[in-house]
Amino acid sequence: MSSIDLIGLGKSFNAVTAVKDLTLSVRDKEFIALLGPSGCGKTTTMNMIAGIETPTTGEIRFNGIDISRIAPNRRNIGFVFQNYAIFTHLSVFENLAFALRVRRLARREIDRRVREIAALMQLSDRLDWPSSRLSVNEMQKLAIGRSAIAEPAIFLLDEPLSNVDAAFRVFMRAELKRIQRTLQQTMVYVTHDQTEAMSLADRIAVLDRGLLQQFDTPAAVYNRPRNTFVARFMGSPAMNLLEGNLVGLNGAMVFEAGAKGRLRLDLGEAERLANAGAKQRILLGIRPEDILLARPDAGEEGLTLPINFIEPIGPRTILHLGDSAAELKVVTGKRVPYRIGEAVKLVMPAERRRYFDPASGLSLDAGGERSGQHGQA
Amino acid sequence: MARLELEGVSKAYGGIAAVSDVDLTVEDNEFFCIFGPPSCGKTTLLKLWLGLRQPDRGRVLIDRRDMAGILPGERDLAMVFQNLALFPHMSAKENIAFPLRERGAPAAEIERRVADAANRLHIAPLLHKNPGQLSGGERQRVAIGRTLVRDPRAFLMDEPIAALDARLREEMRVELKRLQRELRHTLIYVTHDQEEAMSIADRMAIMREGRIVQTGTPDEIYNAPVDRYVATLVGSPPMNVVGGRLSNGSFRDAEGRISLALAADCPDGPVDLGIRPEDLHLVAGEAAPQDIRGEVQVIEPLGAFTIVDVMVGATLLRIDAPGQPDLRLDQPVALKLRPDACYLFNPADGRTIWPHRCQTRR
Repeated sequence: MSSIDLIGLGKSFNAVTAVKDLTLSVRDKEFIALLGPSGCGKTTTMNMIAGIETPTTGEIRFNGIDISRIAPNRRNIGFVFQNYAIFTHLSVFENLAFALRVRRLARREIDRRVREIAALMQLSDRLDWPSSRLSVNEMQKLAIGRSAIAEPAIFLLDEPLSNVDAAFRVFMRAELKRIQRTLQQTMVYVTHDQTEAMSLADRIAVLDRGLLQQFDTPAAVYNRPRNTFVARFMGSPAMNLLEGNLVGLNGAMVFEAGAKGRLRLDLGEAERLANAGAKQRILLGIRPEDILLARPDAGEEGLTLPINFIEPIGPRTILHLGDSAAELKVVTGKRVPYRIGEAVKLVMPAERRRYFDPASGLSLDAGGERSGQHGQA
Repeated sequence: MARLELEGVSKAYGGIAAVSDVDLTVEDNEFFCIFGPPSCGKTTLLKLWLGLRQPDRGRVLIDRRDMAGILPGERDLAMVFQNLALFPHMSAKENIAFPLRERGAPAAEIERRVADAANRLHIAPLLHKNPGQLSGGERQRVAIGRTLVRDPRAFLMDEPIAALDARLREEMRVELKRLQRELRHTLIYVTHDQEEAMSIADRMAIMREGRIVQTGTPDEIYNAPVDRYVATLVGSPPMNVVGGRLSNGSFRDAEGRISLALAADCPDGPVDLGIRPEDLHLVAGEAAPQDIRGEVQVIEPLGAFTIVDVMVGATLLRIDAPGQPDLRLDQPVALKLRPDACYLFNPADGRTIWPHRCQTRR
């Protein structure tokens, strides 16, 4: 059991800055994800926590104690890599028992704990197998079990699911959540897959080019992205960002998006934007699943766009809208009552709209940085 | 433009059957996906058409012509692999132009065709760069560009975008589909990603251990699976399957916790019930007697929707709920479903026995 504090953490490799001034705290038993595209600094951060890399600046504390000078093998950390480090010449049992044998535990104790962890990993009927006979999916379970059995205070997982097939990944996501509930360990999970981060983590640290973009609950990161990078990175498909102008019209504030049409802003929305110092040029953000579709002649006001592509994906359908390229995506149900080429009206509920400054990319919705504040400044 | 067929084709490697008794017709101008788990024989089908492998039995046809004895180079098919095989010392432009130069095409034509392919693939500004200076997605476009300029009879692609990251895959699959529509060429696409197959295929074939289990449009495959294998392979998370008994058209599981009046006109006996995660709905407010009761075990919020594992006695039901429902672990919940969203399978051979629309699609 352990909390982790990263304080002003930085790492440079010669002239290249991999991580810059990173400050964040992981609570005891918390599951956090370090999320971002390749080169964002997530793996470097994990390696510094593990002690594989030495920070250029800043400090790392476990339970409030600086561990910068403590050797990696004394940090009480469990590590699971993308390339599961399994001893293929040993049986499943021996792989699981390895960390306990190193610690010279009693044979009966080893036996008990191996069987316990094997049951948790659903490997009980494989204990006598040579581990080389396991499937790729079982190997990954074994790798996780092998680290978990040592009951480390902190569990670090580096893209553990990126080599397994898509169906198993979905299955394993739920398994990992179940395992974490049982193990009650502090977990730091590195991934480039926003779906994994959303589904697994208590909080997500979104990184880009070595800089922390946002650190918050999955719901807050998804619903209230602090900037356009987070808005675009989270979600599948990403948040729609429409560029337009704020103009006054008949005493009301209106978002104008050229030929696509215009949207009247709520009074509260207009006030919020004015307080945030919004300029005339603005980005309107809305999640694809928050847009409701109506016939063009429907009474509601909204932007009108033609459908240019329809992607059925089973439970849902992704509609691509726009004249040529997809300017906007809408996620709707299994059955779509529209055809390609048809124009539809997009209804965007005011409470689901987000605004960004196109120059800085920063959110103009107050409270974007804090979770659970629901925009109340 | 081409129609590609396999007639009763079998192929074994060292006594192990890779492909058995495959009959398959891909129509002219079709975007056709071959979908199945790893090593189910998907890639072997492509190699048979390409002429890289010879069938042990059966015939390989292109535009109704038997390909026996026709060399790969004479079949006029273009192949894109996951491993792109670009020439690292050549610029993107030279890589794309390569097949035309080999053929000795006139310089003006090469220029025109390369420019056209580059425009279609949005890589015109990158033509002077070497593969090492390009991102994964850009390299993939160059590889596709190299096949475009040849103007082949059909394109065959083997997991062409599997190595790209999730966001790029999402974009590339749509681009490929647009491209195929513009070019009006037959495209056969092998993938192990069911969402990819569903989203781009005009029709698809589902493979299992070297055999084709079902062919149809994505809609037919998803909504009228011929058996439990297809039903659980397509869709994510997979369809829930619960063992139980059917009597007088009603289903009841072993524990008696799931009881459904289905009005299924099938003989009484043991059955497997199939329910898609999105067809199970959380009941808000008062639960009705026929609703399924359970406890929340795992919550996976994904933003647009939330996957919730609900334990119903010893049975796990995974549901796909829209949006971000307010749920806690161990919370008791009730689930509702429409009888017409259910499937029944024969527990022995897995065949779909109800609804009857699923039985004619094999």
